Amino acid sequence: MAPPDVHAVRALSERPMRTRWKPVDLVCRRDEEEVTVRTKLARDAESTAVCVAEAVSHALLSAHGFRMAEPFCVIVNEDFARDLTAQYGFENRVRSGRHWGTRLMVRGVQEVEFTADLVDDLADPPDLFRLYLADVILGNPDRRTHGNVLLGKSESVPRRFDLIPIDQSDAFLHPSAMIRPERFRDRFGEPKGRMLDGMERVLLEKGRSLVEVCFADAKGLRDRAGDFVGACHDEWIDGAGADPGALEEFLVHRIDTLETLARKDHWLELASIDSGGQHALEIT
Amino acid sequence: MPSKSHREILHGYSVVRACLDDTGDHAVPVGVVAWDTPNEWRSWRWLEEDEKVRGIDRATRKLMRITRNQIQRWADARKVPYEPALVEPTTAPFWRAVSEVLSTAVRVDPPKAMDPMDKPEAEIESLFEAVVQPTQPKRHRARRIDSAINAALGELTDLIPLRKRVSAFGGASERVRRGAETDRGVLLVDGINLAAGTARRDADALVSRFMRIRDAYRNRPVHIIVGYAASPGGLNGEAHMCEWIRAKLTDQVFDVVSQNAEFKKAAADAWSRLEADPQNGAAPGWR
Repeated sequence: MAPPDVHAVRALSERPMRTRWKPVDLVCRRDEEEVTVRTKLARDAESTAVCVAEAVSHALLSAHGFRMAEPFCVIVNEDFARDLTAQYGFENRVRSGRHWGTRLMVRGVQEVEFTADLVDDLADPPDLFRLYLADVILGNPDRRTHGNVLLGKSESVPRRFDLIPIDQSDAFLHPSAMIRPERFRDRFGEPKGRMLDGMERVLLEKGRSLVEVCFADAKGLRDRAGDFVGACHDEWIDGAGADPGALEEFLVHRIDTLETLARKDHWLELASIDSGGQHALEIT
Repeated sequence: MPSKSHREILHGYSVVRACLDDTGDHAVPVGVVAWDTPNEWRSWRWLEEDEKVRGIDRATRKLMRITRNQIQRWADARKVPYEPALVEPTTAPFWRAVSEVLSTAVRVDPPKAMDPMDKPEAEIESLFEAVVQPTQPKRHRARRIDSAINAALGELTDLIPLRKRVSAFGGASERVRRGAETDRGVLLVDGINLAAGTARRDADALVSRFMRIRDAYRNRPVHIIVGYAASPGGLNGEAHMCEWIRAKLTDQVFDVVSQNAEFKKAAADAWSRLEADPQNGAAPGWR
């Protein structure tokens, strides 16, 4: 099911953010409430494919247990779309209709370029490995870029932070891949997915059981692949020229081959090394 | 057409803010950065553990630490995300790039111009106090003005005792930062941080205290010398407090950074007036 609709009423950002897809903050109305939404404006097939990638990824990551920013379909009418194009100087005009957005998170939340020294600040360090596996399934190679994860003050663990995935624009191997469905299927086996610094340390500390549990959890997402694709609004599928069937097949294929794509044997071997750098003895 | 160097702020600062709501509308200053491109200098001052700003909790302090470390890595690499070229942290483009890439709890304002700093390391402290106005432990405030006055006095610190207790109105006594007393008069040296958030209150207290002291020495001259730490460019609006001290107490009021030579000379002159005996050159009766 697609995220709820909100109606964009005014621009908050003076300029787009510097990141590749140029998100902007828009003030939107939802019933009587005003909400600020960081919005990725659909302007052509690729930027509309970003909306697809974000929506499907958001659904999968939420189901995988990650804290996520609240998602919306941001409705921009024809006149406002024209003026947004003018204000932000976009080469391609902003499309009227629905755009992907998430509630702006500011208080107690910081965008980071995740480094190993931040592991101790996490409420749940194994999130690093879960996120890696999710990114492999999603075909998202762009997790290490600054601002693609947030640290958010944890509600459950004092003085610790939740790892919040926030930018999944490059899922499905990059937005340019899904808009050519005929070639897209040939690329299902490309590994992609990159770990964040500090993940190996977590595996070393937690051992093989963490690897097994996380792989099992990730494999458990298979039966819901159709639901994840269903979280994408039809407007975005049509606007990107994507094939929803191919998107679902992509996810299923990657979950089925996750052990290979995500090199399970490698991580099991790493997690078997004790802290002194030696392989732990297995007593049977 | 102006050259590129005319379009960049060569002497500038940016304010570091922490957002206390989800719209970013309520953001409080928690630090300052400053740079001087011609002298290839830059520095920053962040809120420290023992300093408080209303609304800043432990989690926000951690996010400040994380962000500070992040900016330090960018500075070391001379590279800010999405900035196509290398940028030096002693230049405005670096801080503009940082301000444009940080969009959540801890942010950096776009660069602003400022008068070049004479003594940057000392003046960034004043800039921080004027912009952030933290609640600081008393000992912290005392230490800062003590060290500024000591630096300005130089070798005179050995001659003018610290924490001198002197008489005051109604038979009371008061301590002054430094003081000396002879038959010929009394020398009182004190200081005030006019960049701090408590500047107005501190100035009133200083004037009142010295008026009470002066009242106890009606038969002897009282030489009062006041050194102050100023905010850069008078950012804290302290000019009228300086004038108030001059009007009510003494015209010997000096900025201990930019007028340190004048401050030291005034103290030395007053010292020699206490010490010299124009009649017979005898040593004065020190107390």
